[in-house]
Amino acid sequence: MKIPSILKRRSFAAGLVLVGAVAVAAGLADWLAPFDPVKNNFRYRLGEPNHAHLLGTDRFGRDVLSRILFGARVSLRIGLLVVVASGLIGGVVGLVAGWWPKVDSWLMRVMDGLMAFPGILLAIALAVTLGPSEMTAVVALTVAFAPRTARVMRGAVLVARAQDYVEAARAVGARTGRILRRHIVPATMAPLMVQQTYIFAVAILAEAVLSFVGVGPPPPQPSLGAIIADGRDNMVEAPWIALSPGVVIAMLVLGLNLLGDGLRDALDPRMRNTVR
Amino acid sequence: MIRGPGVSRRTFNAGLLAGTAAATLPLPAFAQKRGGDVVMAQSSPPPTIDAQTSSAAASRNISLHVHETLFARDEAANPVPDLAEGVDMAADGLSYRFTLRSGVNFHNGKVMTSADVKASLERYAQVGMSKIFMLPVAAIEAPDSKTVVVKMKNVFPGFIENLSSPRAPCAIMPEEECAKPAGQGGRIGTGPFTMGEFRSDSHIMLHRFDKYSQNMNYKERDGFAGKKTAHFDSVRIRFMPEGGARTAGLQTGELHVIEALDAPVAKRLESDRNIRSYTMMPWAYQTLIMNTAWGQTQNLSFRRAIQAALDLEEIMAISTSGLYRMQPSWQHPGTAHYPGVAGLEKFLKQDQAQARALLRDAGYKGEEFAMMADNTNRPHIDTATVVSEQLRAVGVNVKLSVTDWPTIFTARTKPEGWCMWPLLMGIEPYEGPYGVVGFFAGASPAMMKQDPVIEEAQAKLTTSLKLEDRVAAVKMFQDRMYDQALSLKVGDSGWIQATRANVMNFAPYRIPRMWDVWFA
Amino acid sequence: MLRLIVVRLLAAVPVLFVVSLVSFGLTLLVPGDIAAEMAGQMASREEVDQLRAQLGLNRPPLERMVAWYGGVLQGDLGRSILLNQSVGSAILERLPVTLSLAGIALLVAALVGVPLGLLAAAKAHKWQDQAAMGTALVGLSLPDFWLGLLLIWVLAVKMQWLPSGGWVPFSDDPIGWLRSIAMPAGVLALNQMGPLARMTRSAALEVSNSDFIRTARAKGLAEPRVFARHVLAAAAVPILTVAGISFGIALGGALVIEQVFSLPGVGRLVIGAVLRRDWPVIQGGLLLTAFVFVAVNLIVDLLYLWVDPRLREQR
Repeated sequence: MKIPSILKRRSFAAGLVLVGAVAVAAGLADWLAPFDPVKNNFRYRLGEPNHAHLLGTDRFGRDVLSRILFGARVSLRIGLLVVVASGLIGGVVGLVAGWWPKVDSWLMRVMDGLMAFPGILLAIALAVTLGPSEMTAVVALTVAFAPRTARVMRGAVLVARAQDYVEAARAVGARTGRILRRHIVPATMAPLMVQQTYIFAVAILAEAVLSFVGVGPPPPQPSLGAIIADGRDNMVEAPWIALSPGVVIAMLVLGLNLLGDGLRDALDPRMRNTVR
Repeated sequence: MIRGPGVSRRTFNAGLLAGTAAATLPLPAFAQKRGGDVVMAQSSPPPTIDAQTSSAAASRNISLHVHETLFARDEAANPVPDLAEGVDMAADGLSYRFTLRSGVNFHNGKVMTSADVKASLERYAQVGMSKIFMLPVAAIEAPDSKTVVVKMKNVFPGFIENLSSPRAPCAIMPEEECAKPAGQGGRIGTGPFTMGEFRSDSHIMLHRFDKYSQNMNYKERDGFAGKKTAHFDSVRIRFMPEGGARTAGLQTGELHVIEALDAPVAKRLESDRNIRSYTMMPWAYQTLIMNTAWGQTQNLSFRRAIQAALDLEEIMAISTSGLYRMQPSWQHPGTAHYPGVAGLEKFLKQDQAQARALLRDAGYKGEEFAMMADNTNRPHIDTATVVSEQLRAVGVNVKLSVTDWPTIFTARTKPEGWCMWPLLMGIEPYEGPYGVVGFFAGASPAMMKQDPVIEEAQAKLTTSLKLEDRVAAVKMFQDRMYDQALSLKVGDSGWIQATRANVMNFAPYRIPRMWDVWFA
Repeated sequence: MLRLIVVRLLAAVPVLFVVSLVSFGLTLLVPGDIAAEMAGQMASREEVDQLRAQLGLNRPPLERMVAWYGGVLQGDLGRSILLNQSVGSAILERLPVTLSLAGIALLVAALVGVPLGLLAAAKAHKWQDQAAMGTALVGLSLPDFWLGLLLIWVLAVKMQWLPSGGWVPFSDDPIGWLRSIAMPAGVLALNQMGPLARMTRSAALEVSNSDFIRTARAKGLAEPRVFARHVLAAAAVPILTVAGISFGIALGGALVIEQVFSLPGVGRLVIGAVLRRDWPVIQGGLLLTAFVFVAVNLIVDLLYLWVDPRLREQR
C-alpha cells in the first residue's frame, strides 16, 4: 500500500478531507472556540445565531459552536479509543480462534452470543450498569463491536493460514509465535484496518445514541449526541441546537465510510478487480 | 368537625392558585356537553397503577381519575371530605370517627361500606407508599356499615392532612381487592372513570363510569374533591417521551391535553389560537440536598461556602427556562404553615469572595466534590449543571455524575459516596409541612445525619394540636436549615398545562383533571 | 431442508445460553432496582425497602437464576414487575410493532436500494454511479434519531402532514397505521438503503464480469435484459446476506426510533426495562431479540436455497 497512490482515490481523498476538517477543528478547539463551552449565560438563552454566536446558544446560554467543537473532540476520542480497544481485543480473539481450531467454536459461540442482539442494546445495558462516563462509553461500545472485529480477523487468519508459505513454515517446524508474527498478523492488517475504519464510523453513531438515550458521558462536557439530546425539546424554538451537531456527526461518519471504502479498494486486491 | 363546603371551609389558601383564577370562571350550565374521546399525553408511563403503592406523578395522573379517598384536597390544597361525609376528632386527639357517604358505587357494581374502607386503610398501612403516617394508628374499627373509627396510639394532628394527600393516595377499594399484594391492586375504585386497556409503553384508556356517585355536598369540582362530572366518554392517556412530539401532537390536534409544557414552547404557542396554556405558580421548589454525614459537606464552613457561592436566581432562570420566582421559605406563602421569611436575607446573596474564604476555613484542598443528578428529570440535570459551574468558579473541584433514577436512588440512600444532589419537591410542599420536615427528620433523614434541632421541630410539628405551635415548629425547621446549610432551597418553579382551545372549563391543578371538562 | 432447520436451531441453543448469561450478569451488576422506580422521587429508604421486600426482590441471585432457567425451559419467561403481566405476552404484544417497522423499512430500502445498486453497476464509474453511491453513503451516515427529530419538526410540526408519534394498529385503521409508520420506517429505510445499494452494486459488478454474463451478452441479449435476468439472479445471494444483516441492524435502529416516535415496540419495552430495572423483561427481551436474530439468519439461509438451486445439491 503506497500512500500517494491511495490519495489519488477520490473517495479516500474526500473522506480524508471530511474527517480531517472535523478532526483539526476539534483538535484546535481551545483556540478556535469563540466561547467557553460550559460557560452559562442565562441572559442569552436559546439565542438565535448572530455574529458573536455563529450557531446560536442553547438553553443555558452556552455557545453552540464552541460546544460542537469540543463535543466533536469527545466523540472522536471515544470513537478512536473504541477502535483501538476493539481492534486489540477482537484482533486477539480472532487470531486465537482462527489459528487454534479447538478454541475456535467456543470463542465464536461467545462472539455469536454477543452479536445476537443489537449492539446498541448491549451498550445501553452496559452503560447503565457501569454508570455514565467517557470510559464507560468506550467499554460498552468495545464490548458491542469487538465481536465484529473478531469475526473479520478470524476470517483473515483462516485465509492466511491456508497460504503455501505458511504451510511451508509449519512444515519446517517454525515456532508458532514466529509464524503468527511474521506471516499471519501482517497478512491480516489490511482487512483489520478496513474493518476498524468502519467501526470508527459506527462507534461515533452509537456514542451519539448513548448520549441521546441519556447514558453517555455526563454534562457539562458535551459530546455531539448530548448536544442533540439537549436541543431536542426546543427543536422548533431553537432548531440550531440540535441540527448542527447532527450535520457534524454525518460529516464524520460519511468521511470515515469514504476512508474505509478507499482503504478497502486500495488494500483488497480482490475488490479492486471488481471495482475497476 | 370538618364538614363539607359551607360548614368549615378554610379559605386561607386562596392566594395559592391566584394566577389561575381566570381559568376557573364558571361557565353557563347549558354549555356542558357530554361525549367525546379526549386524548391526553404525559411524558412517562406510570411505574404502577396500584394507586396506594406509588408516589410517582405519572401514576397519580391516572389513579386520581379512577380512585377517591376519604378526605381529599380542595382547590387551595386544604383537606376536605370526599368519600366521607365528615369526621369527628375526639377532644384528646386520639380517635377519628368518619361518617361515610351512602350509596357510593365501586366500578365492580358493589356499594361501598365501612368494611371496604377498613380494609383499604389496613392495606395502606401494609403496602401504602406513605404508610409512615399510619404508624400512630392503634386500631381501625367499623362499628356499623356507615362508620369507621380510627384509634390512635398518640396524638398526630397531621393525620387528616396525610390521609387526604394525593401523593400516594390512600385509595378506597373494595375489600376483596385489598388482599392483592403491592403493585397488583388498583384497577377498581369509586372515581368518575374506570380503568380500561393499559399498555405500559403506549397508553392507558379510562372510560366514563356511568354509575358514578357524585358528591352532592358540593356544587362543583373542588381540587381532588367536590362534585365531579365526567363528560367525556373516554380519556386516552398516551405516554410520549419526546417533548417535541408531544407539542407537535397538541398543535396538530392529535392530542387535546398535555400534562406539561416547557416555558419557551408555551411562549411560542401564545399566538396559536387553537391552544390554551395554563400557568401555575408555585408548582414546586428546587432544592439541593446535602450529605452532612460524609465528604466535604460534613463541614459546616464548606456547606456555608456552597451557600455563598451560588447565584440562586441563575440556577432557577436556567433550570425552569424562565418560569420561576425567588421565594426562600420552605412553605408556600399563603398556606397554613407558612412561617414567613424574616431573617433569611443574609443567606440568599451570592458572595464568591466569602465562599472562597469559607472554603479556606474548611481546609478545602481541591479534593473531588461528588455531586449527582438523575437524567429522568430535566430540571435536575440543569440545576446540577449550573450549580457545578458556579462551584467551579470558586475553586470547588466538582465531579458530577448523571445517571438514571434507580442508580441515583441507590446511591443517595447510602450514607457515603456523595455530597449533594438536586431535588425538585412538588407534591410535598403542596401537601403542607409534614412531608417537607419529615423528609429531613426521623431515622433516615435526607441529609443522612440526624440534626437535633430538626428532630425537635419535627416532634413539635407532629404532636402540637395548636396551629401556631406547628407554624413555630416549621419556622424552627426553616431557620435551622438556612443557618446550618443542611440543604438548600433554591427557588420556586412554575408549571404549564395546556389544552386545545375546544377543551372547555379546564382548570389546571396537580394533575390535568378530565372531569367537569368537555368539548366545545 | 428440515434437517438444516433442526441443525441450525440446535446450534442456536448455546448462543441463546450465552445471551441469557450475559443478560443475567447485567441484572446482577446493575445498580439500583425497580422498587426505587415504583416508589417515586421522594420515597424514603424505608419506604423503598418495604416495597422491595413485598416484590420479592430480596431473594438471592442464585435462587432467582435457578427459578428463571427452570421457567424458561418450560416456556415461561417470568413476570414483569412493572407491567404485572407475563414477559412472554408483553413481548408478543409489542413484537408486531417492531417487526413491521423493521420489515417495512427493509422492504422500502430494498425497493429503492437494489435498483439504485443495479443502476450504479450498469453505469459503473459514470456520474450516475457516483450519484447513486453518494446517495447511499449519505443515507447510511445520517444519525437515525437525529433524522427522526428533523422529520418530526418538518413533517409533523411545520407541514402537519403526519402524526408526530404514536402507533395505530393496522386492524384499527389501515390508513392511520400507514401514517403512523411512515416517518419511522422512512428513517430506518434511508439508513438501510445504503448497505443494500452498495452490496448490490459490487455483487452485480462481480457477476457482470463473469463468463456466463459475457456469453449472454455475446449471444446478443440486450443489456437491460441481461441485467434484469442474469445479473440480479446471480447477485441475489450476497444481496440477501446483506438484507439479513440489515434486518438485524434495522431491529437495532428500531430500538431508538421507537423512543423518538413513541412507538410501543419491543425496543421501547426493553430500554424502558433497563432504565427501570424490570429484570424479567430485560432478560426475556434480550433472549427473544436474540432468537429473532437467529430466526432471521435461518430464513435468509433458506432463501439462499430457494434462489440458488446449486446450493441445494451441495447439502
